[in-house]
Amino acid sequence: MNTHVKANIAASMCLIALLFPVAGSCGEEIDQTIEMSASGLVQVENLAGTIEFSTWDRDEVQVRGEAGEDVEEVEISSSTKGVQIRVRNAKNKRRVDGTDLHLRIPEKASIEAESVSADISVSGSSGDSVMLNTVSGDLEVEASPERIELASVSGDIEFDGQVMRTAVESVSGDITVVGAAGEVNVSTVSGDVSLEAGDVSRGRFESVSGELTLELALEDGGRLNCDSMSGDLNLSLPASQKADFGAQSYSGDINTDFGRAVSVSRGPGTMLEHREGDNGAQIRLETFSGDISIRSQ
Amino acid sequence: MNDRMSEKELTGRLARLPREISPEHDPWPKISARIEQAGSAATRGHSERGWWVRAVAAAAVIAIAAGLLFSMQPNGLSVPGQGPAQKALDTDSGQGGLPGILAGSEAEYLAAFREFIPLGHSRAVLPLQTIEKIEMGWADLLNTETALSAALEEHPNDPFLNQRMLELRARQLGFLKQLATLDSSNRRMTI
Repeated sequence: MNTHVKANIAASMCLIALLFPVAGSCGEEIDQTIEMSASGLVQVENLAGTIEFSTWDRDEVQVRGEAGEDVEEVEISSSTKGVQIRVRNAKNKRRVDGTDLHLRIPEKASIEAESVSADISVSGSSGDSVMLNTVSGDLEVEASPERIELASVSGDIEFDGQVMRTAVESVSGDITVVGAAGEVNVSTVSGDVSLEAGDVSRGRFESVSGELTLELALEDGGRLNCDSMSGDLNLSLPASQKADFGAQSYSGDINTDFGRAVSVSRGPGTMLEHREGDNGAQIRLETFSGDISIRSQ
Repeated sequence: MNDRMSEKELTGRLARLPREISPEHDPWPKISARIEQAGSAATRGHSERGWWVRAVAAAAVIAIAAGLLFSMQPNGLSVPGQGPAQKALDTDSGQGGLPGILAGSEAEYLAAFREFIPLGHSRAVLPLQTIEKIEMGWADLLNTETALSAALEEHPNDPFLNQRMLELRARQLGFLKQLATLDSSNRRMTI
């Protein structure tokens, strides 16, 4: 029975997944192509190595690669939901030989990928969502899905594309986001954040010691909240930006092209309260010791 | 099978932990409710008291959680717990001790944090560089806590500083949750 027939059976029986064991032992080549719905979900779990997604104009998923030396099994399964690829490594291996996976997926397919140390890259997807999670691997996405959720502990994260719902989180990895708009949430501990966004309706940016460098425009009625402990906060806005501005820092400086910062009257620190126009938008910036810069461009 | 059950339970418990600690989205409604029920607090300075009460609870949770997380490691990370919130607790003890109304809520949180114990196993499979980066992230959080603590000692009732401390606690919780996710992923991807 070939994989094409198996996939059709899976679809007709609903919720019954079929397994296609590709590599039962380490070091084997992986080369499998499976049908899936154009807007289905591709899920991948791979502990170490690489996961690369690119798109093509077929309603199929092609999986190529080579199983690492520590791989116990590679499972490729298909269901009505989409395609799942799971690489299972042997337990208690301190140095894991990674598995490289190269996938070609339908352009409108959604993506979920998870790894511990594998780098993950996505190119060309315009599906509903791209959700990537890794610990020490880097994440690189050039795509335009409806929403992205990217998380890494120590790896760097880069996104370049168009997206209306963004959630990015890291601990020590640097974050670079270009092209986000709408709802944007970015959080880091010590990594630096660089954002070049379009019109933002809801923005929330958090850092402990990492520097936040944000370039965006806030929509009428929008909300922007930026919070940093010791990291500097640099915000660039259009010269025509209207909003209620509020900023405060305990020991950092506030430099602004919108209004004038003053010392807090009852207590330590510096603050800014300023209204530019009356469009209902609110911008709130707060740091403990980091400097705040608000520039018009 | 037992591993999978534990993982599921862990994930469920983690999902129920608060993501943020801030006045806008108070993660401790039970604490607040009990404070209000007690009704014995003086109206003067009530909101300020609310700040540090929550900070005390958060500090205790963080300290114990971090202790559970890293205590299994011979070269584990330093553990917070001597910050201003802890000192505030000591100070308050001299004035009658931690309000008993907090005890129940703290117990609930501590029970949830016991699930962090298995995290110690993940450390063994992580690359050294990753461990160092994780430790640096934690160190950044502790350094920030130290600086913020010093400021709070000078201005214990400053709402802005208390807000920062609460947010820092939220970040520490988020950090621990991320490590818990790491452990969950690692166990799921190995057989």
